[in-house]
Amino acid sequence: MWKKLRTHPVLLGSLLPILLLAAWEILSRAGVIPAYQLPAPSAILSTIITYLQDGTLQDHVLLTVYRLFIGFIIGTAAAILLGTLVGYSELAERFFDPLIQAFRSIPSLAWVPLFILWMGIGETSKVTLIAVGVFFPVYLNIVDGIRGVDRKLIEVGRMYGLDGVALVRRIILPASLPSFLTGLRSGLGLGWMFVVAAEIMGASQGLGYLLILGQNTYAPDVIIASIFLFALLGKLTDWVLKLIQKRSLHWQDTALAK
Amino acid sequence: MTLQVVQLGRRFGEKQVLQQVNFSVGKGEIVSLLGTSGCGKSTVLRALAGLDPDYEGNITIASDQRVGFIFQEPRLLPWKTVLANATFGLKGDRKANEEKARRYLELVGLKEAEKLYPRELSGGMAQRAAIARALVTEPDILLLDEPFSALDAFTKMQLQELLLRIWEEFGTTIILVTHDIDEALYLSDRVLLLQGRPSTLAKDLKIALSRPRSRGSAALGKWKEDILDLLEGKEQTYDYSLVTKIGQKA
Repeated sequence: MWKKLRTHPVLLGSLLPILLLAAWEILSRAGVIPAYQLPAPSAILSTIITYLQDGTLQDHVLLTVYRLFIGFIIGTAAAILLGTLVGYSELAERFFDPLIQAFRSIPSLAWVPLFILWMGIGETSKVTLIAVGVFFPVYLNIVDGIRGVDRKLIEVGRMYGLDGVALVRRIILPASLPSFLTGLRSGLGLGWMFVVAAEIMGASQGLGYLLILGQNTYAPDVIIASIFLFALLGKLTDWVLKLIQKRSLHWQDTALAK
Repeated sequence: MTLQVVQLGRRFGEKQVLQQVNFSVGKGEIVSLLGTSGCGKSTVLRALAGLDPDYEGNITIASDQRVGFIFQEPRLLPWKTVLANATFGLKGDRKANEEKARRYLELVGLKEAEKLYPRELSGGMAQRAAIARALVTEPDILLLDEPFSALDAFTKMQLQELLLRIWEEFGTTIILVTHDIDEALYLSDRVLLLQGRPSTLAKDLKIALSRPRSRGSAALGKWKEDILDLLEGKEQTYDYSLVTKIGQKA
């Protein structure tokens, strides 16, 4: 029994959460924790189920994921374009990088008022904010990755007559793929952060809106339910990227590749 | 004349490492560039390959000559299989390229390994794959930069035999950089000795021995002695005063 607990891949790690959940449930039911501040896990679960049954939860989740996805795509595309250019050409670096670094030092949330002023409170400002959040980690990792490409492999490319775009496509991009994927994962993490921010600043739908709704209607169960869903979705999307990472980097000679 | 080098020189910053190197290589010759480490022999080869554009002097390679290069390390692309690495230098139809690459992989003894990734190969296998990658493009001139120096003695001998087989089969002109006198003598028609600071071409030795040569034969032994004499006689002796200076400082 003890041996199984020690060796099983998830058993040991899930022990503490289960114990905490049980304690939480018991304390809530016994009235030690007041329900208007922290409702019992079972109450939160039933809130989720209610929202699921009337179909509103699906709409909220879908819209949030949709916003994140569009922002992520736009931010990543811009990062690939600029990152490749800056990583590859010293001239482009001297031209673009100082400005990009300057923009990076602005905390991205500081853009919120300006974006709302420019684009209104609708989808455009939200997606833009998410794209800005995603852009920087992806950009930095692409530039780093390209800089870090082994000069010896570039020589191989040149020996076989590769130049410019062909060299980038056949040597530099594949060689910097590990760093790019790391960038994607941290970009996605920031994307989730910014989708919350974007939806808190004004939305009539989405998981972030549920947070505000819960706050305004004194419904901690709604707040905790949406926090839980954010965590779940964040983990799920990261898992997808991790899977892609593992699939496309199986050639790597590292301990993690096994 | 397949390849001609006239007054080749190279400086790195203020330091002249190579000067006044003149030689030419005929079609189908095997020529070794021999010298102690740091003598600039790799620099010559990199200039010939076009990997280093900042040399002085002139290099002429007949325009119909394709050049292949084999590095000291295999330098396989880690994200490609052995087969995909072997087809790297080819353009056009993938199927045809793969067929062609398979023939060369068989030649270097890697027929069974085409699906493996570089991380799964031993040092010798990886270097064989690199040789196949260079051969697939059917080079007329093959440049090799200490290609076997990182391998164990037995693998090294196997690959030297492989190189001679390639030479017999394709009549490839081969220019080989090495610091291994035995290797240079066993393989080459000519041994070019680089020496001095900055290095110059100290000797152009014609090794007039028929093949197959036997390793450790008396004839090769004699050549080796001569080369060692040349190296010892002309190489700058160690500056012992420096040791004393450092000793005093401490």
